[in-house]
Amino acid sequence: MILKVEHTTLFQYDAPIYETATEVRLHPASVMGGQQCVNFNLELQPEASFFDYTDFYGNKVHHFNILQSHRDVEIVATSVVETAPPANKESLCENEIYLMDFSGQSRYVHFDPALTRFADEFRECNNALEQATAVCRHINTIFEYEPGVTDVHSTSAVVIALGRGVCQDFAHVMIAVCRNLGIPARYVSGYLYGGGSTPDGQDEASHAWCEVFCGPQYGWRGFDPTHKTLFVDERYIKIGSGRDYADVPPVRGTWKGVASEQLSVSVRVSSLE
Amino acid sequence: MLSRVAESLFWMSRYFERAENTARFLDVNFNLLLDLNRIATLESSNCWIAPILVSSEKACFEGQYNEYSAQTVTDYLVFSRNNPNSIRSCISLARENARSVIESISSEMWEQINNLYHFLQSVTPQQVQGDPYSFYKEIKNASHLFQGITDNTFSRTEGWDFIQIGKYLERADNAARLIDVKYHMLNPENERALDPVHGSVEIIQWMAVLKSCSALEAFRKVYLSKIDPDNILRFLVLERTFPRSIAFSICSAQEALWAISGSTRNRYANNVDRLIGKMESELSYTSVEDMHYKGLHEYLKELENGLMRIGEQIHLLYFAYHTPKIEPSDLSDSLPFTGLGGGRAGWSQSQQQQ
Amino acid sequence: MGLEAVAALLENEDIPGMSEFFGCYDADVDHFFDEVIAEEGTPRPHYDKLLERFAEFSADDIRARREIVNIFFRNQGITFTVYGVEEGIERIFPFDLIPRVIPSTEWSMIERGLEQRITALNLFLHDIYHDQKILKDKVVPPELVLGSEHFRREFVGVDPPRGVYIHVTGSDLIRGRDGRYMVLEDNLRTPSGASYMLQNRQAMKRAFPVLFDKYNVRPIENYPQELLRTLQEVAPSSGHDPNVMVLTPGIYNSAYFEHSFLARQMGVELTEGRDLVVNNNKVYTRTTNGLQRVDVIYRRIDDAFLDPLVFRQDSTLGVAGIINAYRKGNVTLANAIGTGVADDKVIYSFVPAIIKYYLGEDPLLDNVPTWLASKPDDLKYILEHLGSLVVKSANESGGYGMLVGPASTLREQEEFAERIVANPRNYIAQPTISLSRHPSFSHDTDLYGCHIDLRPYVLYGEKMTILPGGLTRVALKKGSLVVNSSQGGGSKDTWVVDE
Repeated sequence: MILKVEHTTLFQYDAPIYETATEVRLHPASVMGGQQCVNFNLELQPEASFFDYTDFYGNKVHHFNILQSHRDVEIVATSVVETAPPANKESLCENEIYLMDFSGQSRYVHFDPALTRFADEFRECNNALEQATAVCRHINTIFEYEPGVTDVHSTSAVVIALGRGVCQDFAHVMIAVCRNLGIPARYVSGYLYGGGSTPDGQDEASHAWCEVFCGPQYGWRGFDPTHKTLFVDERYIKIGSGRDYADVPPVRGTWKGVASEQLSVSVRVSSLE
Repeated sequence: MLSRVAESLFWMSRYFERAENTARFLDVNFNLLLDLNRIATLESSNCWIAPILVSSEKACFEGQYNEYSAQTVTDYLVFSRNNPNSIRSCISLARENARSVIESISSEMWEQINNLYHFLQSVTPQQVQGDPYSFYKEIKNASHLFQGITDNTFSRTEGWDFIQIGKYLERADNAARLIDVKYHMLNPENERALDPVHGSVEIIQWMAVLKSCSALEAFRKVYLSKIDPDNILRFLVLERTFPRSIAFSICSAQEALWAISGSTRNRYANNVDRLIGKMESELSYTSVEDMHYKGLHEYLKELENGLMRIGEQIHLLYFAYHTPKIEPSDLSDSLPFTGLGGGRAGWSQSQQQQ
Repeated sequence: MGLEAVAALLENEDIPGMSEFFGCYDADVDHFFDEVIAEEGTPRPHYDKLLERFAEFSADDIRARREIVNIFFRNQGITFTVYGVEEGIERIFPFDLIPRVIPSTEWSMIERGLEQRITALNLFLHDIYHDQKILKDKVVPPELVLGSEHFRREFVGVDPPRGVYIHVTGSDLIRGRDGRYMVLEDNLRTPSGASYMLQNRQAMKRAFPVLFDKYNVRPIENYPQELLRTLQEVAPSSGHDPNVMVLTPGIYNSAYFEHSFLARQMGVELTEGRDLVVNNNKVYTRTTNGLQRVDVIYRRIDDAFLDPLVFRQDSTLGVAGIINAYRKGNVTLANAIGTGVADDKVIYSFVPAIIKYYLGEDPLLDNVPTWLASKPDDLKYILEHLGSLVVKSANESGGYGMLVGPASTLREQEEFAERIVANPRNYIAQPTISLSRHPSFSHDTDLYGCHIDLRPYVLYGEKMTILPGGLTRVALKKGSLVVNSSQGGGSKDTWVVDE
């Protein structure tokens, strides 16, 4: 599918602030044999020069700063992506050292006793792909999607205790379970076409899911525990991946001043075919 | 030099001068009361309103105390932690600023400010009530000592210039307020001045104004014994040879500003220099008649506003977080002054859940 | 024991001073390696001149010299904030009057060992931040590096100027019972103490000019110039005279004195995070003359607090965006980001293997034997021998988070054992070494043997420069093994002398 994404992030302040410094991870990935980012455009208001680099996990990061006083910061990222259906067989020998980062705890992914008990249910099975599928289905069934009960810093332990959350939380839980079972799993930030709550595809946030390494035979497979379709297909646009949300926040920054901040985000994903 | 260091030196100097001026003024007020009580019983509360008016704290003071008396006013202007301009608060802030740039000042300067701070922490209101003379003398002496030490140990670099600017701007500002309040209270058009008893009261009050600026002896040298309000005005506002006059202070501040920017007479390098150059020139050509023509209160108010604008521009030009090239010219869009007290917080942007 | 031997040194036997000092000194050579008195009870040759001179001193002479030293330190304002003490006050850094003397032959051996070690560690850092060959070859377990909180993924792939990561280092050396020098630990992040080293030398020159003259002491006064040169050599190539500065966390930091001292000695600006700003990926200071470009920053702030955009968001000490500017090569930080992974106490045990891997050589300076709690066999040994080992937390410095077996109670051992089992990767154990001892004054009257170590300073820019001597730290409390300044230790001047 050829999909277009317009992702607008607006920070508003009730008094002039200064020295905004921000990193954004909004550039969709281009994956060999898979999704290709055809076009990407970043607009900043107030105008500022931006720079980019590629981080440790291969994600493209843009950054900018605004020195003088301002009252709003608006970031509009527009991309055109050609997605591909997931390949059936991918023989991939992943670097062992690289996989280590996705096998243990991280900032938002914790192995607490509740998690270990939760994961015990799936320990019997030997096949990583089957295990991951079962975990994904289970989380999708018993966890409830409910915004407002968790926040952007909630860990997997908090989510398991609450039994509810948003897609970021669902992804963290699934990653925690997989890793606890010995299956490397990574967090993916991106967009979902048609996943919005409004008919024209407009939503208030980007989307999160996970990728699980199912061995050299199957490679990395995308799973979305938030949606009952479970498997990631061509409606999904991947921006990047990391150990958890902390590695791929879409927008992350600092500023200075005496003011209160209001954040609003809107995401629109449309099809160009 | 680093903006932060320049700003701290400026404020260290400014707060110190403010504390000294307040001490000087309160001291004179105490003496005034004693003199007046010998001649005629005057409502003493009248005397005590003046110091509050000079520091523009009327509303604040009345919110916390219910009468004007020696105790309440002294408490408010000397000790109160709720008053950022009390002597104790000023010296605390001066010390904080000095501490944050301790590497730029001499160890003797630090020792001196530290000693004064500790003295103020240990002195009690009762001690001040019992012997106000010694207390205020201590403050004045400490200030003289600090200035002398600074003069002898601080290299004549840009830092020195900022110290001078802070001191002289504060001095000019304080003098303008003082004259404004006192002149208003002692309005010579008042019919009571014709009454001989009240006449001598007025003379004493005017002498007190001069003493508040440590100007009595110097004044006498120029004007002999003619304590005439207009002469006093002329002396305190326009006299270039007297170090506590407004004209002298503005002149010295200008000199220091030029030393930093390289401006010269007729050629200003930036907005600050333009504003202070304008003020200084006007002062050289102003007469007392001009002041009365405008209305003394209006004239002094204009002076105070001018000084405030100069202070703001200094902040924008030398201390603010940005160079003037990127700071908007519209002041309403620029950042409020956030001194050492706070406000320069660094914050993280909110993040959105996915 | 040393009485007759020392007395025999003198021609004039009835100088009263002598018996006051070295005459009563008990070197206890049966239990310890003493720096001054050899096993046979005779003084080591390089201390002859010192003993000779001290023989001429009376108690009053020593007191007078102490006064000179104290006044000097007081005027310099050399202070150190001690944490954990109620007042948290600033104290003059305790200084012992008797210098430690190292003959140049001994020193060259130390020098070569340090050069080898620092070269290897730098290559190690370069490797793990690039191809990670040493991890792929399993010489160092990858999980130790990846699991270290100091391994900064943000820095992988970045090329610092000249490939140097560790510009200023200090590897702490001790001597065991047999007098052999060993490396106790490496300090590759922000080692401090160089300012004390310089001030100690100044103090000694004033207090003991005659003694100083008798010896041919290698100078160290040029340290600030060498440091500045090193920093300039690693500037991003920009053609103009690089603008160097020292970045400090501020006046409340315990080592603030050193930051400001070094900045003044080098003639560079001392800045705090709030003086700096990153604009368009370049770093500037805010001055009264506008924004001034910065090229090299000698940063005395820990990685985690350096950049709220990339590391700890709650840090007010850092500069947002500085890491990205560094990544781009628009500014150089000394030391580089992420060097802490190599001075981790666990990685320490692999340093001999690291030296072998990159240089193909055996280490010239040995490690202290180390057991890793993360290895099951080692863990068993550690738990069984807690009473005789020194167990350290891998990440904390300054002597905290440590169990000194022989000095601990059974209760303390049990509690510590729990901690080790809960987090084995974090703990290492070493045998209690009888550190060498050096005669030091107690109240400037009696001499007693105090444990010492040595922190030399190594500068690495275009080439490596190692300052002769360094800071000798002394455990001034009788019987104490802890030399760290943050827990009440002191220092001596260190003289490398040419014979």
